[in-house]
Amino acid sequence: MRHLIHTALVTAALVVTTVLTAGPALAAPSDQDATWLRAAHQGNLAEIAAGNAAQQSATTADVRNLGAMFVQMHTDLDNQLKPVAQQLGVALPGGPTAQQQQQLAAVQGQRGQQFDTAWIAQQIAAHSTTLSATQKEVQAGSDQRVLQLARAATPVVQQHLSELRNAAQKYGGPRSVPAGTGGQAADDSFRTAGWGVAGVGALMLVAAVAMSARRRATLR
Amino acid sequence: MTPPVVAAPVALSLPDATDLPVVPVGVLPSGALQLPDRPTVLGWFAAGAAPGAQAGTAVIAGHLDSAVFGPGPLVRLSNLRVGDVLQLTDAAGVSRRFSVVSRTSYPKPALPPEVFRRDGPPRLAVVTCGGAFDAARRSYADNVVVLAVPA
Repeated sequence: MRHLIHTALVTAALVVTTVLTAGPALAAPSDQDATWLRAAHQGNLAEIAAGNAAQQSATTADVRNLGAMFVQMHTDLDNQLKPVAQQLGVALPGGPTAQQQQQLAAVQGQRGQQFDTAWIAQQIAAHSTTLSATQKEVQAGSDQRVLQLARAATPVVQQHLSELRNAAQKYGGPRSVPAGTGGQAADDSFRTAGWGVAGVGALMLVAAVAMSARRRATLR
Repeated sequence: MTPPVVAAPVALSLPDATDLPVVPVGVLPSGALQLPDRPTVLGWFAAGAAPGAQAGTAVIAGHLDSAVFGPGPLVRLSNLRVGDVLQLTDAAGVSRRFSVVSRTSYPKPALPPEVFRRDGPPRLAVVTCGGAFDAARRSYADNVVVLAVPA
């Protein structure tokens, strides 16, 4: 009887040990993997928000269409990401970062064509940052499922960046940089010219005072 | 496989003005670079090169001053000398140093397009206004361009 119990216990222990060491499912993801999962998730949420904003507020079809594409593709990416994060026990933030929300708000504050210009620029920046982080995950990540997500996301984000640059190219390179409306910092050469004009006036004033002084002297 | 992509810049530091916020900006239909209203916030031309890219001129621009907000930190560009260090931090937390090589004033119509080139050696251009101010048009006569190379 004791022999049977012993065997059963050993067998049970073996089964338990096997389960514990069976698969990566129970291993903790690296900091790099976890950081990327959270950042990619927030990036997806930010892109979905930006895509919705574009469809609502864009002046040009380019931006509206890019917006629709971003909503669809980042929703797909996020639907692949969320189960992996859950399996790995990585808690995902509920929304985009404060900075991402701030940036979208700044874009949404623009009107008309200015919205489109601002949206394209902000999206180029966001996708560059996302792609940079994803490249880093591919190089430095450990968990195979996270690496797979990063490898799958890379061409998608690259394509978005490429489309954004195409859209930006239609505006051409900057032809002017209007960077000052106050005049408070106007340089010395202008101030000298300013004094020059005032100087003539000052001379006239002095002459007038001198003339009136002479007249007063004459009257005395 | 793919050339490494650099994260977007988020802050610029001059020798006497640290951590000026940088936001991505683009070109309006008029051809003008769209700049943030406040002179304290600078714009990075996002469709151009990024600071830290292997090629091209990364352009950061900002208002010298504003009718609404007054003068800004870029008034300090006129104090810069060759060899002074400018520092850019990107969204991934990476900081990069650039060493000033020139400061040039151009009448606005003569602003060279090559300031915005995406090819060529990696450099940084910080652009603002300068020269005589036309009060009626609320506009400066010149663009001031500070060029710097990776340090």
